Amino acid sequence: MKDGELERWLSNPDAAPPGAVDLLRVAQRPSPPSPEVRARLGRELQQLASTPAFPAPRWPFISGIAVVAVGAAGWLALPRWHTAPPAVAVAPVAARHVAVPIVLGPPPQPLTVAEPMASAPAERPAPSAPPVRSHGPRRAWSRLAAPRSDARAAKPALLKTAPSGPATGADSLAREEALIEAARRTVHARPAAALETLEIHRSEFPAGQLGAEREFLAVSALVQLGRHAEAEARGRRLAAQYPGTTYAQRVQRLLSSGP
Amino acid sequence: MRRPTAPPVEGGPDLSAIYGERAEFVWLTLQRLGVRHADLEDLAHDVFVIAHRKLRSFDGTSRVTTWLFGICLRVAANYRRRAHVRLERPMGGAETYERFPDLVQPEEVLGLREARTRLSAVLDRIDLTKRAVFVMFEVEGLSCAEIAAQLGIPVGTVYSRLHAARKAFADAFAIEQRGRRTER
Repeated sequence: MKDGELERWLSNPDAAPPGAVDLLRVAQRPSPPSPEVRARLGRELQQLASTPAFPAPRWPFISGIAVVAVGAAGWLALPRWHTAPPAVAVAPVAARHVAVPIVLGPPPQPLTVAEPMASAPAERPAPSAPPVRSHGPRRAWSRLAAPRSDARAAKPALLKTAPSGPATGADSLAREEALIEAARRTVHARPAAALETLEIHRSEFPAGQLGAEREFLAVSALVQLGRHAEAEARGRRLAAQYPGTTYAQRVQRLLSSGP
Repeated sequence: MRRPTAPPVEGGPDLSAIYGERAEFVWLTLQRLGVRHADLEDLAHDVFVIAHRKLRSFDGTSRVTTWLFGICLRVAANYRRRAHVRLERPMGGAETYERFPDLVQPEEVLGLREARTRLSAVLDRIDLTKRAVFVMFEVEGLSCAEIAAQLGIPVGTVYSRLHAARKAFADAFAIEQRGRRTER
């Protein structure tokens, strides 16, 4: 069978590496989901579709969360963590200080520059003439295609942005989403970092809208780290706290698959 | 905990519509990218969770399938990094999904399984984007025009990815064969 000038290896085995066609000949073709699975997944997503639509993500911020989390690990160890309210002590340093939209949607906001994150207290007022430079819109697809390079480019902006006003409901949800997404990205490659990010989420949003997902990712990270007893305990709490959710079922599957 | 209901994004697609129209595409794509059957449902769920979050940043200038393919790539890349996925092949439960040609005798099943495991090992060494195109062309028998239409990319890009994928496959296959000879 030919496709233009291209002939498939199965039709022209001489063009393929010797022996390769034997493997291709027995390959199993991808198949569609069964009606049962499709319906089940559809029901689960139906619940999801009724949740708030997320604001356009702030990708430099999202990508930089893992970096912030690693830095925050040392911060967490400081005595003031135990005395100051978590919302001030940890992540909000980044949460309310970053506004670098580089995505489509609303017109881009100016990027503001201030002191480095470590020296910027949360109460610090914004500079009187903050606009310095702005990013043009960037296609969402290009981010998906090359998230790593974007993440690298975003780090300086993440650390140099100035504080703005208190987070609105949409901002709060965006931050929740950013933390969860950052944890999701690192949960397999760097589970310890993912756990730290999730801990930030838990301290900031103890009753957050993405609590079930946070707990599921935390269990996944613990499994990755070989901390199975903790994973099981946390998984049980998830199932009790969010019964009937997709994540309760998934965590059960995850834990039953064994170490 | 009951969450507030969000108004639909004006003029944009909603999650239910995307799922209704593209569930099969996501399901097939994840398989092309090497996700095992036992993990498909969870990963498909992840893809649509991410899609839900990014609906507002989807500007509609690319095809929905192109956008979803990008999300599938990220999810599959994370999946690949999971150490236990690499160590547990073949996965328990796969036998309920495995399909064999009708004329295969029971004594041939083991050989078929071994060949499929070897093929998976070879494909696992290929970059995901190339792997998808390779599987679509060489395994599924789709034409380059069909692949281009599904992925929302020019046919020329399909050709170039396919050439690169074949070379990557040949390299990975050579490594696999060297490994087998060493084991013997």
